[in-house]
Amino acid sequence: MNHDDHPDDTALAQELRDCLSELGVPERPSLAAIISRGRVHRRRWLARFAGLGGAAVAGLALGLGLAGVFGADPARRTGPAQTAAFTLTSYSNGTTALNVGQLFDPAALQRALAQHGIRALVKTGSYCSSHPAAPDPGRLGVLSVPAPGSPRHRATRARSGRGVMESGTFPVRPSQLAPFVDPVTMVINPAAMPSGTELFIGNFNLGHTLFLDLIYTSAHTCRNSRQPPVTR
Amino acid sequence: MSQGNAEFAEFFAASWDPCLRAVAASTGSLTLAEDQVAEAFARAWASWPKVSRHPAPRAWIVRTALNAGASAWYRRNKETALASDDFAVADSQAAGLDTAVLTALRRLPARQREVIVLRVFLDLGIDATARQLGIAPGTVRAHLSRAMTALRGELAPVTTAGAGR
Repeated sequence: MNHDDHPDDTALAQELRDCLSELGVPERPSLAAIISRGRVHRRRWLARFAGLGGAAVAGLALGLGLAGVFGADPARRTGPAQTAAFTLTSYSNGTTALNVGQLFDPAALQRALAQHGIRALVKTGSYCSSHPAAPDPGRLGVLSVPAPGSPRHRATRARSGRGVMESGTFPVRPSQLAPFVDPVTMVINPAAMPSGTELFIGNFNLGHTLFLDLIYTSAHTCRNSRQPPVTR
Repeated sequence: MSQGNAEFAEFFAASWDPCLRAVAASTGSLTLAEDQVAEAFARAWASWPKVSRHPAPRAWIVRTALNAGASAWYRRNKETALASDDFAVADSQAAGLDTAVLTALRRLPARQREVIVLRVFLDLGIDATARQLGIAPGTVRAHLSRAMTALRGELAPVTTAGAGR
């Protein structure tokens, strides 16, 4: 606690810590048990990542420093619009790379996307959907996410950004990205967005999840939620 | 053992007890906390290259554990926030979690309790706590102030008993 806290706070904080330290806790599980459980997660993420199992949800283990993939692209049209939480980089082919961290200002991101010609609705703790559902953004080529660790991704990185859009991307639908530990980069092509639609980006604290999908601007509903739905 | 696994093993050995205590104090259930923290460490192992670079890995464990508990809660179709006193289940007494201090802690709103866990139990700074919770540092200070005021109010009859007039 800081010195400028309430005079009683330091003592109270110490009392809380003392109380906590007196808690008897059971012996920790074996490391092997934790790793075994972790392997289940890793397999599950990789299976989702590869699109196996017919699941509609694409879950991605994120955070491999993908910003560098786009950093040296000679086709870059404009300088990146960068904040502490996200970076937008436009390319001459009309696409925009969005690199977003775990914490970002939804309103600022929505404004920045609009400046890049991307119609979007960005919210935290709220899930928005269309009725009926809008087309698949991955199939339309509106949204794609480089697959961290994939051979194509590594090849893409080795080429310093050349051909990123063609060879290093995975379509996702709906795009539920978790766990959201480090920044993730995705590529958005606003020209492929059907008329009357916009990109919904939902940030959910529960499980550090980012959710992306297309919605109809005039026919969608939003509801507060700590997590996105498992499937659309 | 690879270097990554060795680093994780060291982190796991050093962090299990404090993380478990923090989550148990917040949820009121040592049994539930044990499972949630094990789940969080498993996820940390699966994403260790990223978690190891996190500025506060213990805070990541605690938040992931609390979120895992909330997620399980949702899966049971009970749309109850983490603040619910229902988390304080029967094993709290057996685990020594029914002290006046911890009982008062669990009466706090969820956000205030999260701030206490991160700021006091894990000793994160104001800015680091704010980053963890995705809120402004000023909001952290406000939550912390309200939480401490509430705790002082709850505990005053106990801690000042016999202090005289």
